[in-house]
Amino acid sequence: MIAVDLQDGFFRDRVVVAVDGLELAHRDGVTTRTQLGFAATIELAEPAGTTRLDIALPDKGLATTIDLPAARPLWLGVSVADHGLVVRIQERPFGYV
Amino acid sequence: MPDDGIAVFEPIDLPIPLPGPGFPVPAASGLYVRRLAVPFARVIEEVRLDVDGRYPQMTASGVIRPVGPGVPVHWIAKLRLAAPNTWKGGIWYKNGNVLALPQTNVVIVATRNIIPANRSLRISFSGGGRPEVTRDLSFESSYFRKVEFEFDSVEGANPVTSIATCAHPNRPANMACEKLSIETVFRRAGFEVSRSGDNVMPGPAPGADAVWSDQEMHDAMQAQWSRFANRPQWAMWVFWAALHEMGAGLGGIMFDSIGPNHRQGTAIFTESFIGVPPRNDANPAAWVERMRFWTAVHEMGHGFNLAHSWQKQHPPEWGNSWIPLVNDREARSFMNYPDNVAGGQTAFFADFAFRFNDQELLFMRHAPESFVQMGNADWFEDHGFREAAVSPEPTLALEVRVNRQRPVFEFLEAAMAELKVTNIGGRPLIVDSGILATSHDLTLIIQRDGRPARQWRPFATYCLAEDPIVLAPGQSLYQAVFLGAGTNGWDLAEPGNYLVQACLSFGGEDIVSNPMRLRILPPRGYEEERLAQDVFSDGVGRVLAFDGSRVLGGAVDTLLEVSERLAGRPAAHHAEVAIGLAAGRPSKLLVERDGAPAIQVSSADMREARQRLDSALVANSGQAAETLGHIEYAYYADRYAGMLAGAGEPEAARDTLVTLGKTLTRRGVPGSITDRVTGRLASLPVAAR
Repeated sequence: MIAVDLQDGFFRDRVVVAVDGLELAHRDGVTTRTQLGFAATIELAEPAGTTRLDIALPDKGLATTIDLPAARPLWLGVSVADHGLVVRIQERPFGYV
Repeated sequence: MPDDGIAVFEPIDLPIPLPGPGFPVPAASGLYVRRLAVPFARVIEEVRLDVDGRYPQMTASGVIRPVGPGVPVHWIAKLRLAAPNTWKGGIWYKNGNVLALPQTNVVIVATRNIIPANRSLRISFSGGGRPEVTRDLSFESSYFRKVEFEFDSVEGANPVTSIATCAHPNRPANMACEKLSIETVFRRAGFEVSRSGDNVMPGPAPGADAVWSDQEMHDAMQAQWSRFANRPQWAMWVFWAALHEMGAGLGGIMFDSIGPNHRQGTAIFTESFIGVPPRNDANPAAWVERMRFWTAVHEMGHGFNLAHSWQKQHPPEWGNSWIPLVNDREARSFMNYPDNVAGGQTAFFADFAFRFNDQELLFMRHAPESFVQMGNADWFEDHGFREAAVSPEPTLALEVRVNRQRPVFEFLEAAMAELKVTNIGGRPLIVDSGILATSHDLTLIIQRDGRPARQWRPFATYCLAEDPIVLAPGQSLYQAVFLGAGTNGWDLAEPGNYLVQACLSFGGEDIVSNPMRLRILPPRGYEEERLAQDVFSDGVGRVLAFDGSRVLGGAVDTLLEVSERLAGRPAAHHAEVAIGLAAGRPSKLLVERDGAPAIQVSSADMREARQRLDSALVANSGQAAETLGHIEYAYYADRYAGMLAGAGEPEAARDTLVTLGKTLTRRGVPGSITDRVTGRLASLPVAAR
């Protein structure tokens, strides 16, 4: 299981997540709840052997490709920064305060 | 030591005595005031001098109030030491009636004295092509502002309100080892802190869920907090519980964004991830204590309108910063996430001095009161239609309408409308099923003829999990909205003609609805005018919006009166639905038992629920569907049927659903809705005969 947490900097964004080139999830209107720095979680039941994840905000022309480590489950935190998308990867859930 | 070389002596925690040559003298920093020269006169000028003591910002700020009615001016100046006890600098920020302060520079001379009554400050304003103005102010306090906290908790939640700073081995090498309380943290930030009575509440009774929703905490805050008021005040309610309904991933939240006065309440969830130390930590118990303490101060910082350290610059849509601020992802501040810095939480706490950073202190001490004070400025700014990005080839159409022949409402009738969004493109669209339910994407404007437009602000702002669905060409989604009242008050209640229009943001496109005209009829007589004084209140608006309350007793009494005096009229349906639904479900309630607060789980009163809901939903179902709107009518009737079935009355449940189905069919509601009612009927158990 891979959980993609959409975290900071989102405002009414369309988010597309693809695994090894195959679109698996699509969200519209993603907005960060600023008290938490968190917008939404996308849980992916990805095909076995997945090695690459693409995350894109097509309306903003932002995209990034992540080479995935082998560990599962895996949590990805994605934020929109000035220079593009920032991704953090960890093997435990993110916490919010 | 302050930069004028004088060792200072100051009270309690702001600031601590500093070593130095000679006899220590009091700090110059603090609040100075000027009053009119009459007994008991109010303060007409304040100056906050912030040049020595704990974390000096080398800043002065002030407020000048007009003697009569009018708008005050707030100013802030950056200072440098010009001579012993003398500071000068330029004013870089003004807010309010700026014409009242045309000058651009200040010179401040402080008189220090061991006796507070003998301390004073002389301030001169100059520049801006205007004559110099000099005034004397008296010392008021070593603190810049006052605030009161109340710490309440659920039994077993293990609140942490103080900490031994050296208990954990991973800490700054120069950390002062002390017992540090939350009050001390805020005193060092410049606040004179007091505490109202703290309360520990027993946990919910067995069988009740132990997790807390935002709404339950908001109710608890109103019932339990001795200082609760729907107005800005320098007071905050802090609540400790085990877990939020979002689960262990939520360590705390400034939950209070569902009323007219935000940021008054905040909560910490001690059994969430903040209670789980890293594997192999050197002192797990101390780690947990520190994390719970840190989280409490962090959430309270949000109550002071502080953003996270990395959110100081944000999308313009989120609103404007009070001054241009800088993101600092590496900040060792209460407002940063320890896990987010380079090196993670270990690196964070190795260099964390249990403090807010300078730009946060500048804001808390010197920003205009309305920006910082709890219950005052909202967290976000709103946007209007002026900047709508309307596509020439829209993919969705938005309609706002009412489920009645003519858009005319009786006086005192809660105004319900329906939103409908339709895919008018030629291909399927993926949309969120809650696209119309979240106020983040939806803006509704209400304008009474001849009055300025007002933005509808619902009592609750929901953060819903994403639920993408495919909306086929021609297919629609619907949402009921209670337009009558919100956090702006009762914007759609007075007799007259109104225009209502909605705008939905979707995929970077703004979908603007039809403008809908509607009318509120005048009252039928004195009795309705008298009732209106109680109905058009914040409490009644909330009870109607949240389908009942066990706390807002005055509002519920008003609705009981409406149901009796306006029996058979549309307004009575709304009143009885709220009363009946609250009666028909068990609910957690904060009460006082033997002089101590307690959580009581009240059971359902099905007799009361049946009486009210039969009258509201079954007896005159056509009128019910019209005044509640088709969506809400179907929702309430379905819930009522569920209550009846749960109470062992499947026949009554069946009758309710049959009435619902027939009513909707008579009113021409699409078959897909009535099919759902048929499905519900089939799922009901057959009564034993």
